[in-house]
Amino acid sequence: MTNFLILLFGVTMIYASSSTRVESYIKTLSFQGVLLFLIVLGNHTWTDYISLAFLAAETLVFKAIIIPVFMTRIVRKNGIFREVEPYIPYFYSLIFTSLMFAAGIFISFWVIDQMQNLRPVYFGVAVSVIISGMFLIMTRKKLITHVMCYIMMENGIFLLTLSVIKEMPMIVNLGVLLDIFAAVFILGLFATKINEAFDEMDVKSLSELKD
Amino acid sequence: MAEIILLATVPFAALIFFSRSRVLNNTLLILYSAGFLYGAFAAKTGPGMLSPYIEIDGLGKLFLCIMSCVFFAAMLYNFSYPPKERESEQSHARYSAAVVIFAGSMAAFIMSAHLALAWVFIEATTLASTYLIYYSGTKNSLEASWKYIFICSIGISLAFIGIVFLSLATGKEGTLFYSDMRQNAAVIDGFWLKIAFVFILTGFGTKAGLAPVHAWLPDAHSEAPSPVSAMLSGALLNTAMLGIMRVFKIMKLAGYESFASALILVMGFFSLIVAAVFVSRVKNYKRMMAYSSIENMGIMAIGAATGGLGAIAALIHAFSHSFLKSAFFMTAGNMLKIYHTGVTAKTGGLLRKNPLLGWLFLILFAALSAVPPSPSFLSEYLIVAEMLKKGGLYAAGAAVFLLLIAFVVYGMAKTVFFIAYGKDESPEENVKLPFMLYAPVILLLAAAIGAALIMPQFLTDIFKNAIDCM
Repeated sequence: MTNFLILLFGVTMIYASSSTRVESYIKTLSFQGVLLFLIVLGNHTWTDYISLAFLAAETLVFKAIIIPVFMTRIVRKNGIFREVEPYIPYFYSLIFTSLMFAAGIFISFWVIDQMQNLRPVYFGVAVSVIISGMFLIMTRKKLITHVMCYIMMENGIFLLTLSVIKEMPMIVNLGVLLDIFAAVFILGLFATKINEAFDEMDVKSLSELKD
Repeated sequence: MAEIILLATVPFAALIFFSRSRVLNNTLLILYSAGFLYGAFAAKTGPGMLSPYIEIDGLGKLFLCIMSCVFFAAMLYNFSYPPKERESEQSHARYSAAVVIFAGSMAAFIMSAHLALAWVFIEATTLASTYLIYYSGTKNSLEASWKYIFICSIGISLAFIGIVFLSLATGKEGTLFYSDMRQNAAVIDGFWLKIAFVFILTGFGTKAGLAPVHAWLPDAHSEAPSPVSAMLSGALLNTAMLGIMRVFKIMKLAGYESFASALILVMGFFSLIVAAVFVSRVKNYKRMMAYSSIENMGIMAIGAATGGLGAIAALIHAFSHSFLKSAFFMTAGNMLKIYHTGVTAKTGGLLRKNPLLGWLFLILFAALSAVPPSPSFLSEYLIVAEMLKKGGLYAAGAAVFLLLIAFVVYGMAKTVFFIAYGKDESPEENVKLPFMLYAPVILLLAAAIGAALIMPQFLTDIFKNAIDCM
């Protein structure tokens, strides 16, 4: 069951790469949060109930609800044009992310006999999501989609940490969580400021400083 | 003591945030940085009150001392340097609180004994300093801060991927405490360790401003208010470099020294090339200084990767670059007060306008170009000596190294001499500045040169302990 959810998590990146509207990115983010929540719940090897509760709250409350709501508000407030505006055709993005997904599956098969303390499917899909996230950042023009793809990449990194059977200390988990949310909110606020200053939220407007 | 100051960071920041008096805030900042200075030099290495997560080792103590000196000087400078014109008390309070959080998280990174915890703090430095870079509120500063937070966040995420790989590599029992990893280096899985190192080097290299992941650095350094530029260049870059050095040590103990040092050398030399190419093209003197920072980080990386005397040189260079470059950025702040522009072509005749500042500027340039008795001379000399001793490819590297440094110095000299001697259109002469804007520059310069000439016992002890950890 968990493996199915993880594969579904990988498929969300393919959906994101082919969708044309900013709203569907937000929906993807929310859906990924729910999926991560279910994956965490399905992880029966967790013995420590405090960290289990903590991770569940992180995924369900923050990743699935607060961040998507925050992003929706930014999009509404700034009157952002709803088209994603990629540099390359959607078809190529779709092909790239699909290939990455396939590569992720291959990686999972390959790591099965490499490592003992690793969950192979988690690992492969996490790698594919991280690479797809970076690819989406590079090929989209809007700053707000950059932020969303950054969150997708962070979701992939979250899955990567789940793939290691050994747990990080609680204090580290808490710190990482705080950092990422602060980063997302600061990025969101700055995106709003850039929209006010330049009248558009596009990487083209950020080309004043160069040598 | 250092731990107490560290714990005081958040309450202190809150206190500053809610107090609405500019003078009080600036005084509190100086008090806090003085506390740091005392705490750093009085710190004892080994387990402390926050063990096992926060512990100071020899290397950490050296970097903490350097950081606290730079921080203290920058706060002295900050006292009479309004970071922007017509600021409200409220925004100044926010600025001061962000400075405290920034410095506190840098110190926490240096002191943390757990790699993943160190990651948390280095990301915190990004978040705190973004507001500082944005502070002047112009379009350019907005652009610079966006690039800074986005590039650094992605880079630091890569470092986190590396940390996850490293926790795979350490096996079922191993932890991510530096001491633990050093002890069990022999049993760490080589394949995953190597991949982890590549990611961590890229991630921390982004923060350290090593090419090819240096893109944020010139923008952020040139747009930030000058006290912040001084801290970014003098403290933050070093801090990230410390992270690279610590992971490099584990690679060394695990027997992958040649692999790791080859990667670091490539990044180091590439930084020198980037600096040499761009420094002669820049049109803004603060950007010129930023490229010089990239060059100096490259020198430190090359020294650390060469090993032997080079490792000692890297530490000396960290000290030298921090003191001199932060002083250099403070003179740039003074020049902004005189010329009201960062564009080199609109300046000139500094020696005539303000002889003291002009001479300080020239002397700092000479010291950064490693003219003896600058400590930079010592470090660059040691690196070249070690490379020649190793022979072969390293000897050829030494020649390229010297050539690239010469190019950088030439590129900087063009800008520096234009500012000092060039023709100046504006008629006003002898622009007066408050003494507090010179004092920290003179202090830092005197400390760097004095340390190189006198080498007091307490300083050599700090260096010796640090070298033992390399």
